[in-house]
Amino acid sequence: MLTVKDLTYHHSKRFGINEMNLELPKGEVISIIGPNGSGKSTLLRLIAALLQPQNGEIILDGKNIVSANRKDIAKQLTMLPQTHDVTLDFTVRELVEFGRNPYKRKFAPFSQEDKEIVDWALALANVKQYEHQHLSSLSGGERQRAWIAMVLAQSTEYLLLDEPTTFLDIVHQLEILEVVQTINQQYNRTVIMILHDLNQAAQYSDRLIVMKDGTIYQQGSPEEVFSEKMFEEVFGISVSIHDMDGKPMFIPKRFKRKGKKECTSLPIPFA
Amino acid sequence: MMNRKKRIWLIIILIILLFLSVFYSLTAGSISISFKEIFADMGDKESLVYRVVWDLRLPRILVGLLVGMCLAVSGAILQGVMKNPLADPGIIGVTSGAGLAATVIMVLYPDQLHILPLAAFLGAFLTAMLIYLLAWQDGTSIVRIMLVGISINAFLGAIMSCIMILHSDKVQAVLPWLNGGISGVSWVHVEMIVYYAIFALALAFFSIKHIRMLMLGDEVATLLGHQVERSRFFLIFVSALLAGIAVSVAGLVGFVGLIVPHIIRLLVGNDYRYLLPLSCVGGGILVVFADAAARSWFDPIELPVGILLSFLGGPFFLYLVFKGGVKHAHR
Repeated sequence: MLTVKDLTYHHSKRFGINEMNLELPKGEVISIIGPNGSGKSTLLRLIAALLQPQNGEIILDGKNIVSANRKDIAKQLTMLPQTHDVTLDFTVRELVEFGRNPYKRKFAPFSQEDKEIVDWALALANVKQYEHQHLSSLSGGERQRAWIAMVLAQSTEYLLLDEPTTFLDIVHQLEILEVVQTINQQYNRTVIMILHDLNQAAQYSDRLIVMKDGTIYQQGSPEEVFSEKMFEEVFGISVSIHDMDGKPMFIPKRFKRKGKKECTSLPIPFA
Repeated sequence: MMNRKKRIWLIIILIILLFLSVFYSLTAGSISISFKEIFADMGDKESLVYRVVWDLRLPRILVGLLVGMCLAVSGAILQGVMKNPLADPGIIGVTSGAGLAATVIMVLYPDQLHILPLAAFLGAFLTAMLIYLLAWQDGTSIVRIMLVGISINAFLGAIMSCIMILHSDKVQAVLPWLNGGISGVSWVHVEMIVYYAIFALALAFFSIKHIRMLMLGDEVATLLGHQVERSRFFLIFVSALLAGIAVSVAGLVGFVGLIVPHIIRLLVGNDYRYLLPLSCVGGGILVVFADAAARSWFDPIELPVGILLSFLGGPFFLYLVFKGGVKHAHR
């Protein structure tokens, strides 16, 4: 169970999170959705204890992680940030081995158990066949799966992913989401991720958290959350909602800004 | 990118080159001595060969070796911690801190000359800490460290110039040191730095795993339970220590910390398990060889090694830039 209590974080006057409360049960796939600048990334970083909140608590299985030891947090929870340095000179296996860092004692060699967990993570993320290749020689999708293997090797209960499918083509997007589903269903890990593709979020998540202006607008199952009203109020677009194999899905209608005339003729400079 | 076998060959080749440059340096100079003479006369402590080789050249080679190693490793560490292949102890102001401390000692307190290495290290370390503290803001961004370093560099350089203008009668004593050279060194200097250097280089080898961790990015390293700020502090400390040791005995020798890791990076890639030890050997080779060249090629004039290095290093670096090597190295 992950509990967020009275969480307040301001990083500038214009933007911040105010007295947020949230309870997330274990064992689900949870997606945070919302427009740009709604505070999704900030919330994820606060949960990962990468940012220090001005006020409030984040309680992970009964322990407040705001003040916890970094190595202890790293055994319970990890996050995959959005952008990675592509200049890293590591092979896939070397990268994944870093995932065992929180368990390493000083000067102790890599144990058999560590090795087995690394193998497991490589296989699960489907990158075993590239294990001795350098990261720079892989495609974007393969590289992203290598990073996912690294966070898997950390064997944490909670896995946070910040837009894991961004910059990937549709095949690789789905591959990543299938890996996420396997981690959740077969190994019962809790996954909290930010997704920009709302239909994918509805397809692959048990629960959606909708954010708007640093607050939680709504949370619930995809069926509960997907409504014309929500899209209207949060994203400012009108949509039609459909059913696809029991999961909701939306189709945006032609974009029209409410209450404004369409721009028809701007003067063309120097014409 | 290289496979293991090629890397091992490279290590062997570099070690051979190191021995060759040491042997070359033993024979070259205003009095050229052949190997045959060295082997024949070394037993005789009264001979000219013994005095030249043992009293002059050997300490000079050892100091050159240590200075080159310290500078190259210092540069390699800074480049790793800043994630910038252009970082160099000179560029971010660490050497100017050491330089100022040394100038103050040499010009204002010439009778305290024996504390020069300590002062140079303190100057380097305090400057590094000053830069680090001034750049600190929600963690330390690399760009801030670079910008603050460059400003401090200019500021300390100005103070140094002021001291020299105000005490222009004593500048003669400082000039060779500013140009960077190891021409007058003896066994005293070897003893002065050898323990510091071994200690600092040993620390540097412990820094490899910290650099590898930091390369993953601050956030990922933190999420893996690594103490990012502490490790950055440690790395800057080691780098300043290495630079301070080198500057204390050799003065302002530039470019070694930039050029050597750069060439090694082109050969083995950015893997610090190879980059750091090979830069160490490469730095030794470069300074020993360049010093031998500087004292023998322009006979009867003896150039300070620092000037020769800058003379060759500048154009060489430009060549790398235009060849696209800089971009490639940080691929």
